[in-house]
Amino acid sequence: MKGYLGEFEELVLLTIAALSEDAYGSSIKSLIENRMNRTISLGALHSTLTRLEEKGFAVSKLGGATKERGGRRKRIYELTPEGVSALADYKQLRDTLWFESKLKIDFSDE
Amino acid sequence: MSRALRKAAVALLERLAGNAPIEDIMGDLEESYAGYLSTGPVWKANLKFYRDVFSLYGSYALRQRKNSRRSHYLSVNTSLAMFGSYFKVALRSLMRYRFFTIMNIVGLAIGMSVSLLFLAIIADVLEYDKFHSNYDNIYRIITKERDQEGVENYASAPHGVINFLQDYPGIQEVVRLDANLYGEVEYNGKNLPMNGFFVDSGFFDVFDFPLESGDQDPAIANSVLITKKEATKLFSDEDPLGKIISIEPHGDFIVSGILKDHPKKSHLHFDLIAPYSGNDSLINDYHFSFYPSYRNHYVYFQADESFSEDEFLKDLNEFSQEKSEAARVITLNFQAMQDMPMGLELSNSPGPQWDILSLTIFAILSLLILLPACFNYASLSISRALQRAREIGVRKVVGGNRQQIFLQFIIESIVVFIVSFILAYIGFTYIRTEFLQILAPASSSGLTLTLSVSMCLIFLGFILVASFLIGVIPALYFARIKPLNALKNSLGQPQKSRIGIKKALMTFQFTLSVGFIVAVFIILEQYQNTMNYELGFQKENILNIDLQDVAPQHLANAVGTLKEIDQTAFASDIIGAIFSRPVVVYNNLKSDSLSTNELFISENYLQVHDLQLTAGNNFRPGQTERETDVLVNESFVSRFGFSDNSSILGQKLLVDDLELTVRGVVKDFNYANLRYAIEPIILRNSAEQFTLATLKFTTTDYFQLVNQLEDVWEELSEDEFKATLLSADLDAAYLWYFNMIRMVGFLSLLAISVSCLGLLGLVVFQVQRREKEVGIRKIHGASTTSIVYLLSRDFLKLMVVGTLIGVPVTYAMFNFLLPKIQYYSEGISAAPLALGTLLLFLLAGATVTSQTISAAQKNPADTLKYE
Repeated sequence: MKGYLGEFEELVLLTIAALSEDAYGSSIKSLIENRMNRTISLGALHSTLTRLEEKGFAVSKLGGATKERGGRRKRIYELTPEGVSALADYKQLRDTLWFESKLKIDFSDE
Repeated sequence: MSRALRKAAVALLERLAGNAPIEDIMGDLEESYAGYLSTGPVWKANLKFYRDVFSLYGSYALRQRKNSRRSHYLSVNTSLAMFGSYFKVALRSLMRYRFFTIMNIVGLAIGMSVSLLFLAIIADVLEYDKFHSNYDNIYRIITKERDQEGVENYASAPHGVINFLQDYPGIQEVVRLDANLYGEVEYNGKNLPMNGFFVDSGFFDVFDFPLESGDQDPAIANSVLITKKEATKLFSDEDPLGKIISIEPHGDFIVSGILKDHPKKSHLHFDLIAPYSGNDSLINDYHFSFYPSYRNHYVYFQADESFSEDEFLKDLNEFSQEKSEAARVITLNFQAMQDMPMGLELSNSPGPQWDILSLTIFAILSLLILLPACFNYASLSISRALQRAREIGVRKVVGGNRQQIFLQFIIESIVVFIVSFILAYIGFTYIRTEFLQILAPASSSGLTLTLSVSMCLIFLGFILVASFLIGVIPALYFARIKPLNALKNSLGQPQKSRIGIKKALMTFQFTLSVGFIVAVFIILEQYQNTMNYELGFQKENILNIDLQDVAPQHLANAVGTLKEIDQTAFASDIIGAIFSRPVVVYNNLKSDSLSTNELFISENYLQVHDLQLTAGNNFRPGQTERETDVLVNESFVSRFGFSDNSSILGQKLLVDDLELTVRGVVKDFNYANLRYAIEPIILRNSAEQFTLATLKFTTTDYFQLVNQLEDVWEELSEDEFKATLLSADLDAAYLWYFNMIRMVGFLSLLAISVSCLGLLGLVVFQVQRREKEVGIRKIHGASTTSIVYLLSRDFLKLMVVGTLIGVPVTYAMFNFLLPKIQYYSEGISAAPLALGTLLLFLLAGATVTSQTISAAQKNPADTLKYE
C-alpha cells in the first residue's frame, strides 16, 4: 500500500469521487459539511486538496466560471488511478478487518 | 463597515498570495459566502467567511502555490519562445533608432578593443613557461643588494648559494645557468652571433627542452647542444653531430646534440647549451661577492611536495644574513616560475619581463576608455525614454510586467554589446599589429597576442557580465515607468539628480580627453627639448665606423689620405646613446672603491668630440700599447672624494689590476643618454679595446664621403663596411619617445572618439527635445546664431569645467612623472597646455555645432506643424 492516506484526506478523496464532474472547493466543502454535519474551513480543505495533488491521488484543472463566484473560474478536481487504487486499498483493509472482527452491525436501521 | 472589513481581509489574502494563482480560491470564498448567506443570518455568514479567509492566510495551500511560482527574479514567466520574441523586438527597436544604435556600438567597440588588447597581453603573459612539466615546482633564487647608493634587485644569484641549496630538504635538483656563453660562433668560415647557457647536468631533468637528435648528457668536456634553427643556419645541409665549432672567446666545442626549437613563450631563450664549468672558488668564499661577480649567473631549483615556501624563506634569510657584510647587505629571496615573466622588476634578467606597475597603468588607461563608453550607453538609452515610453506603456497595459520589460532591455543591451564586441575584435586585430610594433622587442620575446580558447572564454564572459551590468541601469529605469504617464506622454522632467549625473559623466570625459591630448603635446615638447639639449660634446659631422677586425692604425693611415677627413680617433663605444661598460676602480691602497663606467679612447678623441679638459693634460701620444695614464670626469673627482679637480692629478688608481695615474680631468658630458644623470667615468687609453673609428669630416656631401670610405675599406677588409652618423645613433637612442607618443596619441584618439560620440548623442537628444522650443523662438524672431548659442551653451560650460580640471591635473602628473622617466627634463611650458585645450575645443565644438546649426536652420513651419 503506497502513500499514507489520512482520515480527512480519504474523506475528501471520496467526496471528489462522489461529486464526479463537479468537484471543486466550494462544492466539496458544502457536501462534506452537509453530510457530516461538521464545519470545515476553506483553508484546511484547500491545504488537503494541495496535498492530495502532491501525492498524486488527484489532479485539477481550471473549469468554468459562474455568477455567484464573481466570474472566477473553478478548479475542478478529479481522481487519478493512483487515487482510486489507494481508496480501494483502504476499503479492502477495512473490509478484511470488519470481517475478521466478527462484529455484527445492522446497517438497515440507519 | 462590514463590507469594508471583508474587502480588507480579502485584499490581505491577495497581497499574501503575491503572484501565485488563487483565482479558484477567491471564487470558492465568494461562492461559500453566498451559501452561508442563504442558510443563516448575516452575522453568522460573516463569521464563517472570516474563518475561511483567516484559515487561508497561512495555509499550506497558499504556501505551496506561492512556492511553485517562486523562482529566480529574471526567469519569471519566461520560456525559450519568449526569448526569441525578446530578441526579435530588440533587433527591431535597434534598427528603428539606427542613429543611436550605431553611436552606441561604435563607442563601445572602441572602448572594448583596448580592453581586449589588455586582456590579450595578460593572457599571453600567463601562458609563459607553461610547457614545463615541472612548472609548479620550479623556483629561482633572486638577489637584493643594498648599499649606501640604494637597493637593486637582480635575477641572478651569488655562487655561494649553491652550498645552501644542495642539501636543503625538499629540493630535488639545483641547476646553475651561466649566460656568459655568447659570442660569434664560427664553423667553416661562417660566422653567426649566438647566445646560450652553461648549465649543470640536471638542466634537462628540471626543464622540458626536448632533444631532436644526439646525446643530451655529454661526457666530453667541451661539448655543446645547439638548437635546430641555429644549426640549419650554421651547417645548412651537413649533419652537425660531431662537428667542431669555435665560440669566441670560449674556444672550440664539439656538437653533441640538436635541440628542438623551444617555444617562444619561454622566459629562457638560448641557441646553445654547454656543460657548466664554473669557477668553484667563488662558491666557498665566506662572504658573498657583490653584483658584477655573479652577473649572468642564475640558480634554479626544482622542489618536491615536502618543500615549504615559508620555512625555506626563513632559512634562506638566515643564510644570507650570515653571508652579508655590514656595508653592503645581500638578501636572497626566491621566485616561483609563474612569477618570472610578470613580477618583481629585476636587473640582469635572463628573459623578457613585464613589470606589474606598467601593466596596472595600462589596465587603468583601458578602463578609462571603456567606462565612459559604457556610461554613454546607459545615458543614451535613458535619454531615449521619451521616444520609447509609449511602447513601454502599451506593453504594460496589455499585461507586460516589470520583469518582462526588464528582460527586454537587458536583451537589447546584450545584442548591442555582442555586435560591438565583434567590431571591437576586428579593431583589436588592427591595433594589435600597431601595438606589437610599438613594443618591438616584445615580438621577438614571443608576445603574439593571438587568440586562444581560454582568452575567448574570458572575452565572452567579460561581454556578458559587462552588458548585463551596463544594461541593468536603463532596464530598471524602463521597467519602473508608469503606463499611465507614459501613454499621456508626460514622463515629466527627468529628475534633477539624473541630469547632474549625466553632466558629471560628460565633464569627466572632457577631463580625460583634454588630459590625453595635453599629454601628447607635453611629451612632444619634451622630445624637442631633449633633442636640442647641449650634450657637452660635438655630435655633428661625426661618422662612426665599425672596425671589425681591421687594425686601428691601418684604417687611420688609409683614411688619412682623404681630404674630407679632418681627424680620426678611436674608441670602444659610441657615446651619447645607450652606454654600459661597468668597472670597479680602487685607490692605490685598495681602501676605497667606486663602481663606474669606462671608455677606451685614442688621444685625439677629445679634439674630435670637442671635449674640454678642466685640469691636467690629455694622454701622451703613442701610449696605447702600454696603459699608464687615465682621464676622469668631474663627477668622478667629487664622487671619489676629492675637493677640486687639480688635486686628483697624479693620483694612482687600480683598475683591472693595472695601476694607472690620473693625468687629466674632463668636463662632464652626457656619455650615456639623457635618461640618466652624468655618472663618474674613466677614460682609458688602450688600443686593444678599440672597436670603432670616429671620423670628423668637413664635407657636406655625406654620400660621396661614404662611397670614398667604402673604397678605402674594401682594400683593408673583406667584411661589410658598417658606418653610422653619430647624430643618427643619438636619434635612435630616443626612439622610445616616439613609441610613447604613438601609444599615448593612440589612446587619446580613442578617448576623444568615445567622448565625442557620447557628446554627439547627448546633443542630438537635447536638440530633438527642444525642437518645438526652437521653432517658437524662430517665429518670434530669434536669429540662427542666437539659437546655436542657446543650444550649445550648456555643453560649452561642461567643456570649460572639464578643461579646468583636466589641464592642471595632467600638468601636475607630468611634473611629477617627467623627472622619473628621464633624468634630464625641462619645465612644461604653456604651449602644450594651450594647444591641447584648443584642440579639444575644436573637436568638441565641431561635434556640438554640427547638430545645433542644422537644428537652428530648420523651418519652424515643419517643426510646429502638429501643434
